[in-house]
Amino acid sequence: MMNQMQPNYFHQIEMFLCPEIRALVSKLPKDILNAIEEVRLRVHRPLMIYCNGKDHFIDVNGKTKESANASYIVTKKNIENTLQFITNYSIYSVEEEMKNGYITVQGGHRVGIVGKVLLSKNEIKSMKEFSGLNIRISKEKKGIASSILKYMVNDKKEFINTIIVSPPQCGKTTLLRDIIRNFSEGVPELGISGQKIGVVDERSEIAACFQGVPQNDLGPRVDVLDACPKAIGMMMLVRAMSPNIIATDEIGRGEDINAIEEALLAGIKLITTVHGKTLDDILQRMYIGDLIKRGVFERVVVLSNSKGVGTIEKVLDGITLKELTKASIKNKVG
Amino acid sequence: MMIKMILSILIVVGSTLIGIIYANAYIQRTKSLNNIIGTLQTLESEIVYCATPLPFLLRKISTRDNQDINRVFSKTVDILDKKDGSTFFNAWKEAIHIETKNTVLSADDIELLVQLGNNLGTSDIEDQVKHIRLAMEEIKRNYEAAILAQNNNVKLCKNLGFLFGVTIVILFF
Repeated sequence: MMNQMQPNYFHQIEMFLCPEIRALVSKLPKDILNAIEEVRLRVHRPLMIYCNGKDHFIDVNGKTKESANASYIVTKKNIENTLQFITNYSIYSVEEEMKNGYITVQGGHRVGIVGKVLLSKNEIKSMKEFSGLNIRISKEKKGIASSILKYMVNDKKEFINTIIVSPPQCGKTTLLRDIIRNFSEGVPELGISGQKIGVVDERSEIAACFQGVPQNDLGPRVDVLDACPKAIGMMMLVRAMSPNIIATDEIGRGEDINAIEEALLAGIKLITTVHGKTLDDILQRMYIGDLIKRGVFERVVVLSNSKGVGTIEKVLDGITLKELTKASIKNKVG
Repeated sequence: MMIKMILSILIVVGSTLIGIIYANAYIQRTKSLNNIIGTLQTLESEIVYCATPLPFLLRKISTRDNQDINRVFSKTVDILDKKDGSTFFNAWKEAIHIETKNTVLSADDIELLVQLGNNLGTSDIEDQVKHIRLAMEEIKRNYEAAILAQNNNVKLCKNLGFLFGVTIVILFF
């Protein structure tokens, strides 16, 4: 039932694959197609997909295999043609994005690109002779934040500063996105009214803008600064857009911390994420650790994949560091 | 006598017209080449200043005029819009093949366009400019040759047509 309600994500990226690979991948069974997270093309290497926490080879008949024997070998032509479709037949039009190593396509999906990098004055000028593509399907999972929203407001139903701690690939950006959407729309059941939210989307992952239009639903009260460095972006939003809440992804550097202080002085609430396995991990870190020890963040949400991607391991009170949840919450939607 | 008269006039007029048609082909070709050069210039500045993706760009330019090159642009986008996995070069080649069936362009002109299509969109801006400039240079050379041919041949064709008609009339009647 849940699967039927999910949009067919593979269908959205299908047209970006070159005809040969498109034909192979479309032959896969429906349940695998719906679960695909990544399609990987590496020159002269087997075609692979990643789904359900495992990677699979794809053979010449379009079946998944555990071993590389008889698998379809990606050619240079496959990569070049696929790249044509991804860049709308115009590599020059995504030159700037390509310097970051990935481009965002329609639907908010991201394509990582590797190849030969050309430098000019110690800066990346462009890339050519592409040798690998990683097409990552972005899945909006609406509703995954529902179980923790109640911990993120105080008695007066005001939003309180929150930090999400998570190892890679445990769904922290997806969770952040859903939290932003909920607060920007407002949650009447919990008495939360809609908040103006400024998003600094340095890696174009939260809103996933394509030609300036956010591809992910972030609700009605969101201003997105796309591809902007976090520290500068936070300052810009504070001055220009009068947000109630500022949301950013993966903070950690010194200048980020200064910007956070600035935002706090302006009375703005924060929600952010940080890479790390446990809270103790984070407390050891230089800048962010200090910030948490000073009690800037009143809530700490720790994620893991102990019960599948996106498991909410615990929610802590940021000041007393006491657990607010009794057990980890399995949070797999769709 | 009357019939002879009318027939002679018809023959002379007919062969003169054929001469004019031949002459016009030369004029049309220079016009068409000139238009290609102008269009490529627009293409270059749009790519440099706006980095507009090719499908939008070609569509935009194709609406400005109804010359060979504009029709090739528009056809290319039509083929790409089908999204059936055709690469840009294939779509471009097919479009040129369809749209230059009744053209005054020479095989050499067409080959230059095909070569340009092989490089459009496949590299960064700097590289694109180089490819477009190269194509422009070569088409300019053809254009200059076309003007020379036009100057030499237009009058010749028209005169030949007329004189050929007169010759036939004299020989047969």
